[in-house]
Amino acid sequence: MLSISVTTFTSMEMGNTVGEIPSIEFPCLTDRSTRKSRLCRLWLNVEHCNFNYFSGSMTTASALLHIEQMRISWRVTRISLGFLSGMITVFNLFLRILNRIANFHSEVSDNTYRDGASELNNTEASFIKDGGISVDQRKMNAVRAYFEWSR
Amino acid sequence: MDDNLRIWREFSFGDLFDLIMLDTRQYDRGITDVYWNTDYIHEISNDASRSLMGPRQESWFYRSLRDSSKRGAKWRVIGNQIIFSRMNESLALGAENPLNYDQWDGYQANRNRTFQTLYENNINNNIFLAGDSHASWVSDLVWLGEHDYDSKTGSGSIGVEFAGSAVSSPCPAGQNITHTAANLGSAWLTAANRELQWQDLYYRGYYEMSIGYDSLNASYFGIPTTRIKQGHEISLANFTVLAGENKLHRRSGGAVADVVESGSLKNGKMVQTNLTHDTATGEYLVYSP
Repeated sequence: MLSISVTTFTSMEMGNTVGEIPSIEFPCLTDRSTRKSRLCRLWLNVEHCNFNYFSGSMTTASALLHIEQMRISWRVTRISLGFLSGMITVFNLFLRILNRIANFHSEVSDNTYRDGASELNNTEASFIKDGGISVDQRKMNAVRAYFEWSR
Repeated sequence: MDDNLRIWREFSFGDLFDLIMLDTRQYDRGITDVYWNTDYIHEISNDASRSLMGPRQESWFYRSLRDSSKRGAKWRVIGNQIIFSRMNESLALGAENPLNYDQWDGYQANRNRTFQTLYENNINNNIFLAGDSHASWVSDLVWLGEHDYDSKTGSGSIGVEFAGSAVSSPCPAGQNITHTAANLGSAWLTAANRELQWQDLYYRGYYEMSIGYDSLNASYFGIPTTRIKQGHEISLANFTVLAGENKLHRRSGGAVADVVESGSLKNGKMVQTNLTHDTATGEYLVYSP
């Protein structure tokens, strides 16, 4: 339902000198409908993320990820290169999880119709299994998120 | 909520053709086969209430067909998600529920209404395009049970359907299927479905269509392997539809000029050459796995 494309991010090349610190920016959707994490399952599109490199005095990298009902944010100052590489490992792990979620999504979207798909029917069982989000609501959020992205 | 989920739309290309793009999935489609309700969907598959598109899209679709014909566009090309033609697949699905009810076969009234629109308004030169099935299917467009159809000559058809394979999704009969087994499956399918003129299960690939005032051509290509990155592709089969004929143009008995590379061609021959075009270098080679 939600189209999620995840670019696997496996080899982030880091600068060799200590002065170069990569800043990792994730786009955050802050609009009304997407902010309600309970109503939106997943709205991070890693493909749209910018992985920029800064040199010099840039000492803050902030990343904000919203995944399902989980919200992870961290703000790091004075990052050491070692810590940063650790962080990148964490990110890679995260992206692997994201990939799995995305794959899972493409699997459950088999045989779709107005009210759902093979693994996601508009039934109470499906509602419970899927964490309390109805198919209709998910669809509405997907449409809203799409127009918020493309605005 | 407003109508933001609407993606069905049409494009006019001069007086050559109109491209009508349907949404047979999300917009307003009645319940489909979700694997645990197949018997039920089979039972209701011929109900008049069933629709793949919902009433609003359906009436727009029929109106678009009529308007396109009335304005004199040569061809009507209808892009949709799933296979339009009847497909007996009992070899794989079993005799009890022999059709794939996730395709138009599960919404037969919608299909009948489409045929009715074409026949009642004398709408010609109709080309349906489909995907979904991870395999290639080329059929005459036939209202079975309503109009006589000669599988050999194609008379009684009102157009053609070209359904394409997948880029990477595996063969429906298994991703490690041998070419021989896949071709046997294709031969079974073309024998079990009168309107199905060519079928291939083995190849991942795509097809290209070129449209002219006199004829419309479709060329199918297969990728010998998707496991390594390369530019290889194999020409599988080429089809022609002549304007006004409303069927696959028959040459030397079958629906292609000479032979097909893979799958099964009704009243025709399959000759495997593995002649491969390396699109990266422009060279031709004989592919060996």
